[in-house]
Amino acid sequence: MKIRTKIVLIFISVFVLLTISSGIFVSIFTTSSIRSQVYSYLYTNVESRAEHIRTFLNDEKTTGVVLAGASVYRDFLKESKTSSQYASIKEKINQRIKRTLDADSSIVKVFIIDKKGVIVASSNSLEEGKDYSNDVYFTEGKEHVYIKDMYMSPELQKVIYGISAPVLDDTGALLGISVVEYDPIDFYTIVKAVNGLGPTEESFLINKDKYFLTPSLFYGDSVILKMKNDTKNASDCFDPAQTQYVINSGYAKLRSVLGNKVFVESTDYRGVNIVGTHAYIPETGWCLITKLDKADVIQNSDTISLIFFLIFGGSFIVFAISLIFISRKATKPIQDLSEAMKSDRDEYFNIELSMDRKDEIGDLYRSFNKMIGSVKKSREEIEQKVAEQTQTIIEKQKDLEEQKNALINVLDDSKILVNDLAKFKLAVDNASDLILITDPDGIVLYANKAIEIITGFKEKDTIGKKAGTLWRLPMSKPFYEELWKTIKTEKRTYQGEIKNRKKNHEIYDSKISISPVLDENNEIKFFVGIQTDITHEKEIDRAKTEFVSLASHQLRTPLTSIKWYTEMLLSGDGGEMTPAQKNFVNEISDSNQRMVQLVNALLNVSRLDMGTFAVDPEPLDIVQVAEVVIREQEHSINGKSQKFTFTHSDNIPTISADKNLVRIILQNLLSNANKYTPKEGSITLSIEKIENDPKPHLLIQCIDTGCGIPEPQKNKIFQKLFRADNARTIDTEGTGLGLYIIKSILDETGGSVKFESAEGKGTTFTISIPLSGMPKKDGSKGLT
Amino acid sequence: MKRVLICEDEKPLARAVFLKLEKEGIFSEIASDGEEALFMVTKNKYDLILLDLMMPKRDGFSVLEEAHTAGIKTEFVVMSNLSQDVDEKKAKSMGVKKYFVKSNVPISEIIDYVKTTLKS
Repeated sequence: MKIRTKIVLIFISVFVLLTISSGIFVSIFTTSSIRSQVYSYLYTNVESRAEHIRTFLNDEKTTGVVLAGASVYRDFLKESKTSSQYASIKEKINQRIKRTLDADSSIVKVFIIDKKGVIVASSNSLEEGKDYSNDVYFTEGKEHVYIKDMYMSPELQKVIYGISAPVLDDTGALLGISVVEYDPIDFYTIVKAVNGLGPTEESFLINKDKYFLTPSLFYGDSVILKMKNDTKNASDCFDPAQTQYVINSGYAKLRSVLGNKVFVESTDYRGVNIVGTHAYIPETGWCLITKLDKADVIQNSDTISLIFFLIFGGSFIVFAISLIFISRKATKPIQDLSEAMKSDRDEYFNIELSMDRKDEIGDLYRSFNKMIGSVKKSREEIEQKVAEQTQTIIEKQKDLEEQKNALINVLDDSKILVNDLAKFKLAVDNASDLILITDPDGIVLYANKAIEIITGFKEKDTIGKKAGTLWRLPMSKPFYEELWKTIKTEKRTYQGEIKNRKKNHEIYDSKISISPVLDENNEIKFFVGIQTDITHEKEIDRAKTEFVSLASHQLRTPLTSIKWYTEMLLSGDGGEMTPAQKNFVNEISDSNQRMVQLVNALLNVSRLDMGTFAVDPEPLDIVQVAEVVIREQEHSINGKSQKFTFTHSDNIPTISADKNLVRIILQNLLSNANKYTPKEGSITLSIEKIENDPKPHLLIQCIDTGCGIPEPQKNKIFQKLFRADNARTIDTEGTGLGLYIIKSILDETGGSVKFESAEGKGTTFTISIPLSGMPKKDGSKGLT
Repeated sequence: MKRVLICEDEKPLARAVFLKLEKEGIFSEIASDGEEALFMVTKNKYDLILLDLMMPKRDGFSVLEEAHTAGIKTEFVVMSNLSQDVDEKKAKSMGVKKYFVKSNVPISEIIDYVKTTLKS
């Protein structure tokens, strides 16, 4: 904010503050002075009018007394009606009454009552003879001059009042009463006189019953003797303390004693807020009330306030303009200095009004010029340094930017990683296998939910304890040695099957796998153990084994019996047989033999299908096995006069293979070739070692010149129980299982089988067994 | 005179072996269940015992086990229709030297083996 603005603002604030406070003070003062002025007017008004009314009443009383003292009155009242003079004196008195009536327009009636209370003369002759002995004119008038309060005259049909005075003879004895009745119109005039305090100012009279005697400003004549003015103003006026004071000391004295208490701030007969006062009229017991609406009083003070503020506003504008002008002039040099500083700090000041000034401003300018000189010099040095450093900063910023980008990439990656981790955690938590993580000493760090299902123990029962406590059946010492050797010394995964006991003592079978997790120094960080409950699988396995055992045993027993007894018959144990008998028994023996083979094949297939057959590799000379098989089949081959050739290279190594399985493969190959090759056809079996191959293997080939495999059925040849159409025709008794068994064994042991065939020309089966041998497979059964 | 015990619950089979051995001049006796087999093995002294594995009352493995416990040193030859590896291995682990799967061998092969063994 500019200095000039500050100065102007400060001055204006002070001015406004002063003005407002003085304004408030003046306003309060004015209002109260106006109010007291109004009060004063009001009281003066009521006082003067009350005095006027009293004077008026007293004048009328005097008139009454004077009239009553007239000799013609006395003479008239002394004279008896029966006297001869009565008529003339009556005439006189009538004239006098008429004169009196005419003399004053406000007099409405004049009459005379005799000492018995009967009207003896009246301006209204019809009234003569009327009895007034009970009227206040008579009862009061007998004693003294009496003013009868206003009342509605039934005769005149208007409100009037009257004055009665006793007529006395020389001794002071009562002769009669003189009565004059007036129209109260004069009071209206006196009361109505306006002082100009406001449009609502009014005065009116009320009688001692508080009924209006004069018209109301707002309701007019209708209120007279008809409406009560029962206000605080009225009740204060009739307060005996006040009336007494007025009677004894007069209005001015009352005001000086009561002060502002003679004023009433209350509501009037309309219910409007008013300021008013009152004066008691002792002669009649009336009360004069003068009042003004409060709004009129306030309006008066408002007008004054307005004038005051107009004056203030005017002077404020003049003050403000001159203040701005003066402050501008006073702060101009400072502003110039500031502008110069802003515009160009390199330049010395050369503003015309500046250097030769003799005041403080001049000193200031000179000092600045001096200072700028030295600042400029040092600034040039600084700028050079800054330029150098800026270059460095830019380079560093570039580096930082690159680092930031790299960091953002890392963060993005880690976000993905965190998501992945969450997924993994969820997966591990909910896996059906029990997963344990332990530290290198076997203390459990983590266990997933499956622990409760598999072992019955809760996660919290396990964490922090040795994982071994979960194995509740003691394991053999060699088992533990083997386990620890594998995972801790060799740092490999251990896999095995154990029997265990659940928390509820139930025994279950489980497959365990314990793997060490290594850090970058190849040290064990922790172990991950996975345990699968295989109780159910074991049960199924047992059931299958039992079935196979039973089937094999039960089927084979009768077959054995047939086999042995036919054999005994043929060997002559039962005596010599005729050639025909021998022939028949041979048929039985052959069929039985086929049945034995069929049972064996079915058992093998069931084991292959169940995956329960074992692979038990041993160092094996396959050529030797082949020779045994060839010997077994020699009889059949020779029986069909087939040309059989067996070749093998010299370098066939001993490989690790299951003897039984190899035998089954070769048996099936050869028996098929023998079966489906016609008489005098040729069969060749060869074994070779193939080393120039990604997977070095032994190649076994069986080539025949048999019926071949029909083209459309080639894709079905390895299916279980499938038999090609031509094979069916040639040999009705085949099982359709041989090739299926071969393929199943080779699939399971890492080998393969394929063939080439042309229908009617022959087939070549090619089998490969890896030189690395067959992997060991535990299983309950071998094949037969 | 050599004495052979045939432990075989299937009477036709036991009789076939018995007849064959008899023809070869080898004296044999028959036990028709596991209990009887164990009783005879422990009571009498035999030169060779042909043992079926699946028998009523007591199976062949149990007979083998009890015989060993009783200190019987006679050679046991298994002839059974259980052809699975596990059975053969189990039997061999209990000291059996020869394991015949009955349906797969001619009776002559068993008799030849008995003859050969008894001779040596």
